[in-house]
Amino acid sequence: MLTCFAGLVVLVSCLFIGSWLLPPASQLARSRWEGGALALLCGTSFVALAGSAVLAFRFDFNLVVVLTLGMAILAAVVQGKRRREPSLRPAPLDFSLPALSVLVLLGLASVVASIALPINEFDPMLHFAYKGQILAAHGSAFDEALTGMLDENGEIREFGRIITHPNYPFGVPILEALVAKIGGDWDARWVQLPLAFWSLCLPAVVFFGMRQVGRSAARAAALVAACVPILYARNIGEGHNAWEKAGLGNEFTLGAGADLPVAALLAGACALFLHGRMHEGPIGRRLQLLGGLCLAGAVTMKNEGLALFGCVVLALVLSGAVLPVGKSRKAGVHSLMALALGVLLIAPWLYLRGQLPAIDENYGSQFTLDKIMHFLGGGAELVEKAPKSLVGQGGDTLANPPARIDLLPGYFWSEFIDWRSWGIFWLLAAMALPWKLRELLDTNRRWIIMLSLGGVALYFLILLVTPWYLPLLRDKGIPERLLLHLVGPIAMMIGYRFGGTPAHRPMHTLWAPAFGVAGLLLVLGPWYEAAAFINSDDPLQTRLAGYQTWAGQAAAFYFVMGLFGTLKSRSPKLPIAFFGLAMLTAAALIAFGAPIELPPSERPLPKRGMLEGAGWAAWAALLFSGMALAAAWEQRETAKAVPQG
Amino acid sequence: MADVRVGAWAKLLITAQLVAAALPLALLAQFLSNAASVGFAADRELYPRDAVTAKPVYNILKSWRDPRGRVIAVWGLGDEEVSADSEVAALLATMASEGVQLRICSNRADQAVLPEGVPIVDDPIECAQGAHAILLMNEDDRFDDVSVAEAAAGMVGSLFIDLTGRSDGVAIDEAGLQTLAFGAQLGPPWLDPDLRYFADWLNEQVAEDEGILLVPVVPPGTVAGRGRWYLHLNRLCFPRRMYLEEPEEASGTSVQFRQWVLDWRERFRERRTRQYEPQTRALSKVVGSGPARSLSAPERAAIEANEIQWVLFYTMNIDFRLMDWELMSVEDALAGGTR
Repeated sequence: MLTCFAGLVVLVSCLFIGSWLLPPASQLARSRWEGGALALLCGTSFVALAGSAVLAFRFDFNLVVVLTLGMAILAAVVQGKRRREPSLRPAPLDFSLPALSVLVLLGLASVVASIALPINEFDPMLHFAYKGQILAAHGSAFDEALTGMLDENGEIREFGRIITHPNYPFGVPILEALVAKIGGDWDARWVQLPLAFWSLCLPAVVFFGMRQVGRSAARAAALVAACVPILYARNIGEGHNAWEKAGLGNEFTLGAGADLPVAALLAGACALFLHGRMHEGPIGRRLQLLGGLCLAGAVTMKNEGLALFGCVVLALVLSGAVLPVGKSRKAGVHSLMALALGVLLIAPWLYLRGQLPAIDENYGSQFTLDKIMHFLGGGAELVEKAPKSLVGQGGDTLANPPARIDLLPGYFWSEFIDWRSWGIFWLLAAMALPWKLRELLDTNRRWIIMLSLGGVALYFLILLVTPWYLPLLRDKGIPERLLLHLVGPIAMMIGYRFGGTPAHRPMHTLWAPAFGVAGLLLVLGPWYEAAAFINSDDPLQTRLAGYQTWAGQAAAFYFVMGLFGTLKSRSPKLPIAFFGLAMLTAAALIAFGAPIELPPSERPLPKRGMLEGAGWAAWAALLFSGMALAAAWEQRETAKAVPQG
Repeated sequence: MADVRVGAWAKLLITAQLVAAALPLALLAQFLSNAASVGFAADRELYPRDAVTAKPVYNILKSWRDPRGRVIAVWGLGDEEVSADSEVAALLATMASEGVQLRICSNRADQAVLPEGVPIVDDPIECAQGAHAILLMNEDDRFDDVSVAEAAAGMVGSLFIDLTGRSDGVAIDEAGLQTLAFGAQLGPPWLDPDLRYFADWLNEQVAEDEGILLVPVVPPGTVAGRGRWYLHLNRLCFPRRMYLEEPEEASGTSVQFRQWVLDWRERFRERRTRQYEPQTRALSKVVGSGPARSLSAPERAAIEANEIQWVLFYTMNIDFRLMDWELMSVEDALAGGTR
């Protein structure tokens, strides 16, 4: 029972720390439901990030215990003082009785189900809880139990310690180890207590994020998020013995795994960014900084958190949301500050990760343009990684391997129509996509849409280049376990469709994002060319670099034409048309164009690479000037259209 | 905060998604009820039992060079009713046609669906008298409490063939019988009671600060992930230090593990080691299976380099059997059975 009490202590500590970090209720209206969920997400992120930093700097894990409890006590004192201040009354939630009942039942049942059994799944047990045991017992991430596969020179040892995925993020193990450390013992049930609330928190933070958009939008988004079956389990009721096996097997999402924390923390980050961007002054800044904290927290939960971090950055940049100009100048600056804070916070973890043995998939090295092009162009499935061929039974498949691109879209499609895992979530998501250009005028809606679509695209590309046999991953619940991470932002996108107020802003607000996307295309070509020339002896890569050069130069031409056209006509149609032309030309050149083929003897020297690097810098400068110019234009036009004061 | 009027079609769609919540609600209710039935403990009895099939019949027959004339005591005919076209009837018919003498202990035995001339015996101990093997198909939980030791005492053979995946491995081992599990295993590997029993025993034998070298006795016979018992032992026996050859492949993804198995098969050809039977076994009561082997030069060097005090010999198997594991002090293991 002491460990149960310790679990409660950690939970309450996270709540106190999170509540302290959040603006006081006297300055920011929110319901207890939203406030509690936000506090828990911020608190757990803080503990996970502080814990990762403590471990990275080689301090003992006891310091994490002291920090957490110390901060919690301090936070409790501050909260006590805050309670004397009058709270702002939030607008009522106004859920209908059936909707409220479903929310309450699902939330409570998810918490109870998460701790109903001791940790009982392979991944949570071996990838995460075992690391928690090591941290609780030895207090260091550099203990031989974690690093004992490598010798002192960082080389793989012939005989070494047994551990699965030693460099997986430490967020979940840190929270579990805290419970064990405070409770004085490892109890596989109660160490899960701080991890039992993700499904309860997710709809609440989605509601908070959409509050400023509209109550109908917030209710719709929160309900849609809460009712997605995969938040609790996937493929519910499917197959033989399905109900007898309810909650058993890796189809159960609840428990001590890491997919749900990533989903909840990403939803929290989006909600805080969204709400913060619509809130003036220091409150908005504070919320956005907390968004950065939650985003960094997601990175400490699962490797995919890092990819999603990049996705959020791209969505904010390409949507024009972080441009420090125009009407939302301050919001943009605060977003940039929050992203910078996020980078700062994850740095210790990235350092620590670099010190730990990397024994499995390294997606960073797989995620290259030539690999993507290879599989997009019909590259064969890696059948040599298929289980049957490994034991010598896969002759037919080995002889005629299927093209990966023939398999992958089907996997995604089967998820989009899988009502047992998603209900009608993906139908709603499809309906929430912008139908008219006008729907993209709202910067916030735009970045949420870009994040949702970008997230799906990211996972598609990751699976396109995965070094493993794709059907084997499909068996293990991929891509649905990845798509689960995007429930928060996609629910917000749906909220916009079902209750958002239409934006009434000039059409030219689209210029900045249009230039952003076009510019990215321009940057990619020369950059890839430079990287390929410098790093590769592979003729295929130089060939691809040739394609990229053609595509990049064609796009550049249309980009410049579009820029002039825009400035002249003040209409968004022209840049959009030119942007479309640039994309089409680039695609056509990639598909049918003549490559530049360089014989090995003429392969450029590093000096040439430096020149390419300078070219890349020039393109980047052009991109940002274009975006700034467009934003400045927007500011001028807006000022003309809506007289101030 | 504005409240926008939501159209009827939008309400309808949101309601449809609300209805989808019935699925997780029903699942969570069922799960909590199942968990309550086993006292909210992680227990393999939470998992649904697979019906007995005729599939393993040839594996059973291959247990002997010549199965003709072997006597098999069949304990139970499975949890389902036996009809003439059932899997159980097919399994028994095939065995009988191969010359195996069957003796059946069952409450469900219907002479009409059994092979001709098969005797039906009421008492499981009497059924096992003079048998070469016991074949457990069970009938609900009827045979759970039967004394295997008592049955083994009257047997002429030493095989216990389990098609249920839930026999009491510890009791079978204590009776000196070898388990051959041909059915689907019940529940995930970490809930196997034999594994838990062995881990508890190992924790009693080995001090917390000591190291154990895991050494496969024969080339790994399976690429099934379930055979990676070392992962679970390593966790259950933490903080004891467990070492393994090529640990990054052995601990990696299922594809890496398969590569590790293939590499080990190659390695065994190169290393000339000698399999042997220790004078007394540390835990298992099964004799004659050769559960240890002499150590290779790299293994001896690893013991020296890592301050290892114990060697744990093992034979990889999908089923966790006590007979497959043999713990020895480093001194005994280095002596290679000569002490």
